[in-house]
Amino acid sequence: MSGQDKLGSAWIRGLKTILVLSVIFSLWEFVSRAEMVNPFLFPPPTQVFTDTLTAFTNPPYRSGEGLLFQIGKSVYRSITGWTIGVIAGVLFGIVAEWWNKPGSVAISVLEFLRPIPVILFLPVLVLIVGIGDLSRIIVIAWASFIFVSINTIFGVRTAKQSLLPDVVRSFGGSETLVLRQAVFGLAVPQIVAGARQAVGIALVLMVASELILSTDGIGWFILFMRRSLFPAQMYGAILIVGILGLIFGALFQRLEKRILRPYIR
Amino acid sequence: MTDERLASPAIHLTGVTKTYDRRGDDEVLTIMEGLDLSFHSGELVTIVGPSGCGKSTILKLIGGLVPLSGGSISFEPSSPNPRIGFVFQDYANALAPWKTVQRNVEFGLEIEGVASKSERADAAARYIEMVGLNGFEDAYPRELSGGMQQRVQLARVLAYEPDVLLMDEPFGSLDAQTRRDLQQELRKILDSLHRTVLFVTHDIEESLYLGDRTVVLSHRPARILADFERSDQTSIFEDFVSSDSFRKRFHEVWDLLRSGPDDA
Repeated sequence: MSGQDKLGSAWIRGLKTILVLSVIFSLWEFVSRAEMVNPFLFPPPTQVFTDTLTAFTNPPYRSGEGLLFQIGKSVYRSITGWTIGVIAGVLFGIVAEWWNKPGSVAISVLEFLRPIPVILFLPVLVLIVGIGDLSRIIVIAWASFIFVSINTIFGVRTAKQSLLPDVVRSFGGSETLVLRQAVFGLAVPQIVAGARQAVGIALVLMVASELILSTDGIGWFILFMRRSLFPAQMYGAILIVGILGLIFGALFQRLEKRILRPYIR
Repeated sequence: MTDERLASPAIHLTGVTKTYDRRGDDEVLTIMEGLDLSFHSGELVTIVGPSGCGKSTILKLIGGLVPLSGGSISFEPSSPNPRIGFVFQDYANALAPWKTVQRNVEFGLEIEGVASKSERADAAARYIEMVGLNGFEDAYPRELSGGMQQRVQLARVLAYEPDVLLMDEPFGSLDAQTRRDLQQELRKILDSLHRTVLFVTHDIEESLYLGDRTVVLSHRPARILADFERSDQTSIFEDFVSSDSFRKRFHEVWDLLRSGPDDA
């Protein structure tokens, strides 16, 4: 298939998606306006849209900062947590798998901690570091770290089969150079796969971590709107989470394409 | 540049022993025991032998990639760190897939710490030209054929300007036609460089055609079965392999290798 066709089919797919979405929203609008459901609990999309837009800067009753601020908080937490987790995961994965003897102990410890649902750490973290950004960032970073480190370890295992480490040594390179110039580069496709999984989990944990013991963030906003009986704003914020997911996904895909280009034929 | 440098060193293996502990059982695998072998300065020596006979191990020992179990390896004039260039058979696994041809060829210089970008680029350009890869500087290894990938590896090692060149069955995984082309080009390139080159192969024809000298090794533990000087000076492949001296040698080596124990 030529690039032109690909572009064309992407456009058609986009149009179809918009069409389906408009049908869904029209039905919702109609059902709500016709009072086939309780319009207070299921406000029509037009109202969801206008109320949510207003909430960006003018949040309803006693909800503190506007929705824009809450989105900013959440995005900041997820991106910071993800970045820390990815960097730490790559460093740990490479070092622990390359120096196998001490590394295998560290990997066993990781295997033990891995199955514990990350969100369970949150109440403990809140006790230790408080209710602010740090506890959420740590949770997101930890989950990203798990995914990235495990994938990096597999990447390093493939690197061990390669001759490139020997090539670096034969040119007189130190073991640090072997890691930097051979092992890391060879592990990149696996690292990227781990980072991609981490994007998904970071988004989920961004919202989930704000549902527990929190005072801000979009997750908190959704919860607060439900409790304060502002369903339109609640639906709006939920849709925004979905849109954030799409944006994160698209941004990562662009990055991924650039990084992986040499590796894929 | 290369021609003005000091002569490439001679290499002496004295009583070299290499054993591996087989994983799982107590058996010790003896690859070679008390092997004495010398390579003269600027000589292209081909080493031929059955697979698993330890010919690749000789290169790895000289290159310092695996430790000696006994004996010693020395260079003359003596140097603690001679510049060694390795060319591996498995080119796809020996190149950096994320680097372009240009950057792969610069790799040795980069590892060595040649900071100047233009200096690296100049060296790379010269050897990319020499191996006939001009126009492919920005391609990635995966976009190239096997023969071209092996040319990248060759350019990379030449750009490093090694004192000693160790080639481990470099053409073993290429098709016959590509192998011929590369053999002829390699001879031409090496004739102008005057480096000490050890070239391991299990292809008798290749070993006789390329070598100034050919060492025939036995099945492990490796012993020297024969040690020939080149029989005919022509570098034209067709002429070389149709000469009587070549055919005589070919049979001789064939018989030597066939008569060895074969438990492979």
